[in-house]
Order: sequence, then C-alpha cells, then structure tokens
Amino acid sequence: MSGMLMNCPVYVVGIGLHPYQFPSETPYVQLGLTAVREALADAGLRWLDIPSAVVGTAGIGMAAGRVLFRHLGSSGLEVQQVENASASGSTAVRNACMQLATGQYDVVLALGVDKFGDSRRAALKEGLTPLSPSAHIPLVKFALLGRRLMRERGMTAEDLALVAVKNHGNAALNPYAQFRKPRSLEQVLGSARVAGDLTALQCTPRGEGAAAVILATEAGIRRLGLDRSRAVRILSSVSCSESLLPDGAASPPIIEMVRQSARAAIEAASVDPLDLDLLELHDAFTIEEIVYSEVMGICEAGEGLDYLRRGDSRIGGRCAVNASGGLIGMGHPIGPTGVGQIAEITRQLRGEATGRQQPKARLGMAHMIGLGSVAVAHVLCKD
Amino acid sequence: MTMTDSVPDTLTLAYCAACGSYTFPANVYACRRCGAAREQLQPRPCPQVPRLRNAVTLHAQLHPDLPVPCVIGEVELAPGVVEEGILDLHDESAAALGMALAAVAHRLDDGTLRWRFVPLEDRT
Repeated sequence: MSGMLMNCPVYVVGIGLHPYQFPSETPYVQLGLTAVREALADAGLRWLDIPSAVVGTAGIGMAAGRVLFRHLGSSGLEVQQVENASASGSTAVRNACMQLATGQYDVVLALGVDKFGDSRRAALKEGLTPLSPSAHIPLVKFALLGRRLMRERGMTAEDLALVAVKNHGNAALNPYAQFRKPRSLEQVLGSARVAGDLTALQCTPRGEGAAAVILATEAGIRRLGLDRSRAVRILSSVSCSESLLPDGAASPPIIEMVRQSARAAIEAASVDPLDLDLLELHDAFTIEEIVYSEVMGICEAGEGLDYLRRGDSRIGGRCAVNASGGLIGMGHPIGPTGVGQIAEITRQLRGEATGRQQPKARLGMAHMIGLGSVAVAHVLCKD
Repeated sequence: MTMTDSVPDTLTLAYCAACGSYTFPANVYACRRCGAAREQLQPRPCPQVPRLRNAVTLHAQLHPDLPVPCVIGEVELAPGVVEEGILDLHDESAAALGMALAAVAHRLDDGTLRWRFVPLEDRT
C-alpha cells in the first residue's frame, strides 16, 4: 500500500468538518452533510464529481453513508462503510487511498461521522467473562499505565496534567474543537478525579461530530482542474493490530503496536521522525501523549516528559503535538477523529491554521489507535 | 445448594498442552500464545500464588458492577498472564506491589460469578 502511494501519489484536496460537540439532538445526517459540503467547497468540487465514498463510523448503523448521501443527490457513487473502533475514520482514509492508488478512481471522499452512545463493543459478546469488568474500560488500562510509568520514572500527577494544559490551550484556538477554553494546571488537577491520577480534564470527552476529506490522484487534480498549490500529499498509510510479545517484554503490547505502526509509516514515507513538524496522536488520556511521543521517535526513549516541559511539543516548538487540541481538547467522536486529524494536518501544511499555525510546517503524521487494539498511521507532506 | 449459590474455591486458567503456556479464563476458545484449539487446553489452578503488580483507585463509576471507590489491580496469575482484578482493600495505600493475593469467588445478585483478590496474609 505504502509503496503504491509512492508510485501513484495521492493528495488531500478538500477538507471539512462539523465542529465536535457534546451529545445533542442533532441528527447524524446534519453533522455529516456539514462536513461534506465544507470539503466540497474547500476543494472546489461538486457532489457529482465524487464517484466513491468511504464512511468511517463506529455506531451509526447499517447504510449510514447512503442515507446521508442521498441528501446531496443520488449520484450512483460507490459507497463503503468501515468500522475499526476509534480508528474507523483513519481506516476510511486508508481505504480511500487504496481505491486511488490501485487506479479504481481518481477522486474519493472519506467521511467520519458518529453520535455518542450508538456504538456497541464486540468484546462484550466474546462469551468470556473477565476477572474484572474494568478489563473492557480503556480508561482504567491507561490509568494503570500512567501509575506504572510514574513509579518507574519518578513522574508526578502534575507532569501528566501538563499534557492536558497544552492540548486544552490548543483546542481553545480551534473553532472545530469541543472544548474551547484554556485550562490552567490547577484547573486540570482540580477537576473531578476519575481513575488513578487521571482527572476529568485529562480524559477525552464524550461527543459527536463529523469530518470529511477529499483525496485525489495527480490525474484527478488535472482532470478536475483543482488547485494544486493547496494539495497535501499522503506519503504513506500503515495499519496493524496488537501482537503478543515475549514474556518479560519491557513495554505493554499496545505501546509496541504504536511504535511499530508509527515507525513503519515513517519508514514507508522515507522521512526521519525528527523532521516531523506536526503530530496528531491518540491522547485520549494524558499519559499516552508522553509515551507515544517517545516510541514514535520525535524524541528519545524516556525523554517524552522533558520534551513536553521544554515546549518542544507546543505550537511553535520542534514538533507541534496535537495542535488541533487532540482527543482531550478537540474531542473524540470516534468515527470522525482520524479524518479530523488528516484535516488538521492538511490545514496546517497549507499554512491556513489561523491562530494556531505551526510555523514553516512541511511534514506531519496522523496516528490513531482503536479498541482491540488496532493502529492506523498516515504521513503527509507539503511539496 | 443450587448452581447459582455455588462458587468455585479455585481460580483456574487454561493450560496449553501444545506450548506449555497459560491463558485466562479457563474456557477460552484457543491458546492465546500458540493458537492451539480448545481440545489442547486443560483447566488448571493458577500455577503460582497471584501477585499484585500495579494498582489504582477508581473514583468515578464506570461500570454498574464497580461501586466506587474501589481498587483495581494488575494481578499476575501465571508467567506472562497479568489480568485486571478487583482488590478487596479499603484503601489503595494497602496495595503493596508484589504482595501475595488469594482469589475469592462470590456471586452477584443476578448470579454472575465474580472474583476478588484478598491479601494472603489477611485471609485467615
């Protein structure tokens, strides 16, 4: 797949979002239409120009795409729906890349859309009973990971909270973010305790929303007369799931999965992780950003906290991590999240992220994980 | 005594005759390490005294069967087999890493079987 993207370049030519928001009565169709229309306008395309769409959703239900798209006109386009937990949107983008790289189409839409509360977890239907019901709750898993790393590294609860302070600050500058208030360290630490050292403002909120990206090949850009100067190239697309590690492995399997998927995407893009200007990653819980920064290679092992403290991961730092606000600040409506990451990096690489622009941004990576666990990574660059 | 009343006195795992590793729970469909089918698996008691490897307190109610506050631990049941378990502790400060634990079964009101882990020295 990544080799295909080298041989048949794929570009993001249009982006659009419905702001992420707390659960509401807004129908998912309204959320999705807003994002698609904005992406079409951004690209300068009409709905009838789109021959294929991939919809990432974890909970809307069967035929979510067709029900939504008929309000744009029944154009006869191919519609696929994918579910891959929190990485559903990222998987929609990956499948759209595949349709383009294999020459099936020269322009494809990837849409992520979800409402809170609709999704059901297959793990609860496994037919096996865990020792504790907490085994199916990611928040507990990451609270335990946070505690373990705090013990091993001498980190404090304040250290974890610094991630939330940064990301809430970024989200306050993002008109599509669910949280739009900067938060002080005291506010983050003083919010309701949830599990272990995690407080409410260190956890991703429940929400809904939609995000859309339109992808095209070189031929599509030429055929449709699109603005090449605003196109952002997707250099690589990688996906994998967790593997069993040998007894006594130093890191939990989920950390190794993040390391392997990120490194594979970076290698396939033939870039150096230290050259990344932007990184959107799964920071559903603060500890994740510190650990993933290290294993993805933007800093050395064990340096994640210092990287954060030094301001290297701020907007304006060496690599802006979660300039959008991340899952903690921008939100995590599930299906849209991975598509929204691609939209954010595209906006940044175009130099259009007014108020939160990473200076001289040229290279970015979007990385999502999902229940299971699964991982999907994309590396993007501006020529 | 009915089936609903009875509780097992021993926590069992699945032992894989093909690769010699353990998987939890005992009724898994296959060995998690080598993929051997259920026919190759035998229920066996924990091959070691369960040991506490990590613990946190849940402050927010995240599941109806987890009244808060409660302490959740990562418990090593066998080499390489670490599972989250509910600790029978009033306070997280009593959760000493490496402490020996005993698995104690009980049934919820709806008949669901649950295990809690009690510090071994407290179980007299």
